[in-house]
Amino acid sequence: MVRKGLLTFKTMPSIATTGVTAGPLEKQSPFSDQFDKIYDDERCDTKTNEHAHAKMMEDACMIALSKVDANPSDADYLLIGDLVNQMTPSNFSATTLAIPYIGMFSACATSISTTIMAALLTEMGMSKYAVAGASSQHNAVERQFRYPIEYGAQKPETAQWTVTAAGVAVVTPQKKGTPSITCATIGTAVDLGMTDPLNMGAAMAPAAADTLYRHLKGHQTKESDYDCIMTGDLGKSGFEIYKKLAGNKGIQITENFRDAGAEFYGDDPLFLAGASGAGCSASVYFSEVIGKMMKGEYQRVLLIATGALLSPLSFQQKDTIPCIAHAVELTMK
Amino acid sequence: MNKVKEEKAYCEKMEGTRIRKVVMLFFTLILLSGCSWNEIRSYDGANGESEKAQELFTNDNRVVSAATIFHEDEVVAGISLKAFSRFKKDKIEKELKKELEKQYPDREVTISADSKIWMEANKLIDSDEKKDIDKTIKKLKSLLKEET
Amino acid sequence: MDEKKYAKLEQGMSPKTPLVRNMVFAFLTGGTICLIGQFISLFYMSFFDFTERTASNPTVATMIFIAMLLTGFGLYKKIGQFGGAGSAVPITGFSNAVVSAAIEHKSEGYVLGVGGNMFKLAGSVILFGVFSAFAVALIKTILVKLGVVSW
Repeated sequence: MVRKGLLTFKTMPSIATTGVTAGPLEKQSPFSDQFDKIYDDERCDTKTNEHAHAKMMEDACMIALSKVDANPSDADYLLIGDLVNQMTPSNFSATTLAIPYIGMFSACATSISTTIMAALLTEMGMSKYAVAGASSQHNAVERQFRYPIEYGAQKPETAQWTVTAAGVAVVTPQKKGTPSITCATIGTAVDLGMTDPLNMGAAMAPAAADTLYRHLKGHQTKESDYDCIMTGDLGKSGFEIYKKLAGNKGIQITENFRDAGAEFYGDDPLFLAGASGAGCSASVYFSEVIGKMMKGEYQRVLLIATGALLSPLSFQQKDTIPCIAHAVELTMK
Repeated sequence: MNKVKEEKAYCEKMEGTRIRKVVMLFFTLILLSGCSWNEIRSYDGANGESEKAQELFTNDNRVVSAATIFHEDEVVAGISLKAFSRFKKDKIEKELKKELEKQYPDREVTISADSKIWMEANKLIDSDEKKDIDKTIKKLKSLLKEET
Repeated sequence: MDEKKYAKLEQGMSPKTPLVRNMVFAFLTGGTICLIGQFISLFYMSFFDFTERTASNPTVATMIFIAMLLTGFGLYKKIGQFGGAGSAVPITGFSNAVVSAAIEHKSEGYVLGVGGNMFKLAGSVILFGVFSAFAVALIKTILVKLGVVSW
């Protein structure tokens, strides 16, 4: 069946294992005890932030593969991405891992877009082990998009903090006892004229609400069917706007609505609106959510990762920020 | 509502640490400023010529305090001005210099609103050793000539 | 939903910038930095042969040095988040802008990295500072020539 951007996976590929690595600052995250590896050094004992970025990704992939007793040489595809120019950290980790590689960019929605692609490859019977994921490193990303790290600019309360984390999932054909990918929705780019890169939550909220609405309508499900509907990195302020927009579309807002970015650093006012970055949704989805599914706390979840598709050049030229949100539905049977 | 609470908590947290320090600093500043000399004074060996200068500075309400030194054929005056008069420092200096030159036509007048001169002149008046007076005056004059 | 409608909704929901709080904190922070500068100036006047006018040079250098250390130890960004404009406007803010850019670009080497990017943020301050000084001096010169004001 052909439908606009709506995918249904009949073979129900599984997320067999996951691997999550994070930086030292992320120790204070309420999810930190579920991360597989936390580095003591923000540069992971490498020379540059970009090397650390690549190493985090590599380690996450190795950890995830080792959990299914596989080597990088057993993996069929590597679908990863990040936010740095031309995705060099992902490219370098792909070189080291030597798995056939497609770099993907959907900004902070990369975790879900890569998972969807991995599920598609698996559905077609062309992949046994597909590694999907995303990562971000605070210092490497902030220097791209904002001021130098040590520059003392006052950030508004809507500003978010790019996390240092990487999260990958190993997608395999249907496997008992693991969460399976049943359907997904590819988002459309939404641009409602927001221009402030320090308020990306507000820019991304309409995209998230749009994808949620399209997913529920297209797959004929109700919001109450899910144990958890988790967005990626809208942050505290963006999350409120998203709930309001979803409410306007007739969707019932319940306790099951969660946002990884808003929850990532707890209530620490130092991090303002919360976390952002490609690694934010990836690390929370592939630790907290998958963990709860394995324990049986969640039966059916909807993960919506949002991404702001801006570049430093585009916002300096006063362009608006187009945003995207991809959704994937996981069930545990 | 939640935001307001968070804001409050943040402010309170900060209050505990920084505001208190700032307040302490202000108090020490007030204490310190209370200790400085706020008078019109002068030193003139034994000639009894300083009265005219004293009068001039006392009657000028822009001058907070002054220290004048009479030595041989020199008059060196360091004055400190009211906060807002400081913006017109150069003008006031010129004006007072003219006045002083009128009063003491046969002397070389040096007057400055620079607090260094005022400080040094006060120090000289307070010290018992008046031997180095020549040297000090020479040094002050050369300091004033220095550009930036 | 169109852009205007959304902008309205967004403005209604996003947390407002606490203007009064920011202004008070900026005043306190900027004032404290200037107070420290005043003490350093006083120090140079009482212990060295500097007048009030000539003491400004070593004072500025010392303030820049202190701000450089604070930037390197990661404290200046905290002051910046607390004080906003109060920490950006004094010379220490300028120092922070230069040093933070230099630290950031050290990984690209000294010539192309540090040298080429050091004035990334501060460069425009220098350019427009010099330009506005030129413009103001020009206006004053004309006014003096016309006899409206004197130097």
